[in-house]
Amino acid sequence: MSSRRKLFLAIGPFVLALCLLGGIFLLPSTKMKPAEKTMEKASTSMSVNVIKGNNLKNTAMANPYYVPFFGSSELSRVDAFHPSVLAEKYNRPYRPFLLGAAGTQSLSQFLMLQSMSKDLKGKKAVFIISPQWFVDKGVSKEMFALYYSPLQTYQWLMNVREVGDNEKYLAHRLLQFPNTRKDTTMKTLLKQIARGERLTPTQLKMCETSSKVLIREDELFGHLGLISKDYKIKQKLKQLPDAYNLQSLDQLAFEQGKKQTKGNPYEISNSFYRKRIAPIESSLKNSQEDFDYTRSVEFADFQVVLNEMAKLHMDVMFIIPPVNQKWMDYTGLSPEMLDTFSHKITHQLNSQGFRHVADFTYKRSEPYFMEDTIHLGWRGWVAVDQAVEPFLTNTEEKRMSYRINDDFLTSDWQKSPYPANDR
Amino acid sequence: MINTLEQMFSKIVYYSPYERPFYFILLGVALIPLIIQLLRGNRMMWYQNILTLTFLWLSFSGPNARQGIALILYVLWQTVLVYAYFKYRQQRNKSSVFYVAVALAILPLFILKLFPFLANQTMLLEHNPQLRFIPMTIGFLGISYLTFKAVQMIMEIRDGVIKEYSVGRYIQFLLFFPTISSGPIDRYRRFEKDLLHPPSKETYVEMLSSGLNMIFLGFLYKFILGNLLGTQLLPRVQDFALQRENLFLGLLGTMYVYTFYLFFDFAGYSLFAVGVSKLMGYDTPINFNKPFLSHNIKEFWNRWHMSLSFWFRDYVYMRLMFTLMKKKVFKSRVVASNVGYFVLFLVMGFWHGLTWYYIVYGLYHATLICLTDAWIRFKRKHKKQLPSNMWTKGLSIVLTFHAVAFSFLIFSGFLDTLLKTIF
Repeated sequence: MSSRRKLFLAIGPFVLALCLLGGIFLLPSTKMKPAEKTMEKASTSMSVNVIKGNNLKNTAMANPYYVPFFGSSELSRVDAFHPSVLAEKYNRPYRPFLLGAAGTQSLSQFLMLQSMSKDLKGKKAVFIISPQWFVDKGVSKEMFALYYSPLQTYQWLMNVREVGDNEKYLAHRLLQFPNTRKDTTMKTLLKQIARGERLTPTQLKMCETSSKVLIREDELFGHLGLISKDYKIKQKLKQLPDAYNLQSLDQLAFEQGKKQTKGNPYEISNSFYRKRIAPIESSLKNSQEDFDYTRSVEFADFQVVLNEMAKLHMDVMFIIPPVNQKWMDYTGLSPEMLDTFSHKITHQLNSQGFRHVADFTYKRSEPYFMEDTIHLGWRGWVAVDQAVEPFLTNTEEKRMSYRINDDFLTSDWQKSPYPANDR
Repeated sequence: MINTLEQMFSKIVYYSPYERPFYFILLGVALIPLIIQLLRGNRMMWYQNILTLTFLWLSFSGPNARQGIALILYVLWQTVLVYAYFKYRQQRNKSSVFYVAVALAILPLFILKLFPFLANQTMLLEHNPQLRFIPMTIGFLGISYLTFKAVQMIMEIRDGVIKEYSVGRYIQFLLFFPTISSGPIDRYRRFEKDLLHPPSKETYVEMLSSGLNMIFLGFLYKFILGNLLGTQLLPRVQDFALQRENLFLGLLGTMYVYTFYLFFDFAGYSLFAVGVSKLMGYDTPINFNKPFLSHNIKEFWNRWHMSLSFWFRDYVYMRLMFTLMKKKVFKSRVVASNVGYFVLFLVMGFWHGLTWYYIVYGLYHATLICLTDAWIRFKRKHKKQLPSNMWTKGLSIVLTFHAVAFSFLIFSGFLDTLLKTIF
């Protein structure tokens, strides 16, 4: 072989590949909308691809039938009284679209929320706040990484119009996670916003290019591998009486709770107790005496969520679940601390005009309210339904008036031991 | 004036090495003059140096400017250190001075790795917040790999095999940009030979061809397979494990997917590094040689991240064995070798980071290698009783793969995340 021919063989494929690559980029993107059936599956799946992607959840949000239920692990406690089951059984005019999973906290919720901004304007939503998110440093690197969506982050960058305290705080906060720092372009842009500078038109273009690829990926793969809870829900439907009656529902919840928590002194569901508590039970005694959910970065992360909700004029019902009293007695978790948490978060909500707060903090010793240690179940879900159902079925138009206060982003608020530091 | 300058800078994109396909377009164009000259049998050293500076600037300025400063300081430190040791070694050869020199070469990396651990364990940082800046000022992408290069330099100077010290060539060796972020770890004498003697025209055409081939295989590995596994499949299987639909299946899936993700991502990167080196006329050693076809762990380490395992073999294990044997610390060769393996893999574990799962990963591999050695000794004694055919070969490959895949599950840190969601 002559060396010219060898050279041609070496470089030829390279040139061909470049042409092919160019072709793919120039091809127009076809909009692929998910099927109705896929959306139904996605609404209860809580799968990571639903959380990180846009195609499924955004299409669902455009439909008034689906109401976003933001939350975390409690949403996966599907018993007969779970919001998805009740909505299905009693043919409510809405269906919950569950957004969250074990480990999603305010930052992941915010990224999801803003990624749906077009379809959420003026919409109602339910948001379950876990006190357990509010540990000193907020969401852990690992949990943030699991649900981190580059697509949604680029989308946020593209949509930043003005750089205020809220944007600076968020950019600064996102830069604390290795996932964003690994992407040099994103790091550049976040640093710029953290300094208070807007992105230039060229940089916006860069975001657009990056997100185009990610959008395509989401369209192609987002609907694959959904973990469906359909079967579980169908099973539970059969347990419910055909006619809705609060008292008989609560009674049924009581009985089911009683039956399923027989094997332990904490009124914790037996399977949870057997798998997660029994093996290490003695090491948990008094292990939570020093837990403090009243000083945390999460308060500021949560404020970013509120800010976005206000911007979108959303009408949101917030739910604060309690912690199982019997379990608290064992682990030494302080009820006073949880009361303070409830006051602090309620103040943050009410003072800015978020009026719908279903605070169950004081229901901690209500029997069979919790399925296990910190997750709502049986009678807890019935109580949630009592708040959620009238809120979602009331069609009266209301103008939301929110008074967003950026002081809630400051470290003073994060660390203030409310209400000692009188505000 | 300042505005136009700002505009100009905002158009510049920064990339860590091989981060995105666009990096390759820039690199490809920039390499053309060098390639043309190499095809004529010349190496344009001045151009290669400019190229190096440009691409280092692309990766270590802008949002990574802090790392750039750390890199400069680090190279200064190592250059002076090696220079001083070289001068000393020409006069005398005391062991203590050698050990001090090695310790000083490792010092920056050591501080960097130890720091987060110390910070978590003690109240050190709470009381001295200014200490937080220490790791930020000494760390940069690739510091581990530069440390490997610096340490081998001091060791070979001690051995007397490096008889000449050229500051310029040493810096070129350290900063060779195709391999700066994650190796492969080259050897100074090999690199120097390539640097001083450009390949002949005929050899270079072959290098060019195989280099391009490697880069394209790298695209397939890293940008297609690695990317799909890492961004699409891995989150799904992890989600499956976390949502505990079936913990065992979820973990098994995570193990397989992570193992292949790790391979395709890292082998893809290594193909880029070796491929680009070849385009520049350097024969950087390869890093992977079909590792999952190994029929025992020992062979696996000769095929996986080869430049790292060979470095550990030559500069840690062999030297330790030599010292142990010479000083007759252990009577038995077998005991000495086993101790050597544990030291090697513990050091490797610590090098990955001071968390429990890296240490366990190291201990696990050390145990496996010692067991393998014992098995090989046993086999040698009982040659006649043990069958050896296609089936036993196949079985040993499958077993080895699974032993390795399990170690990567530990290495991935996912077990740690999982434990955190449970408690």
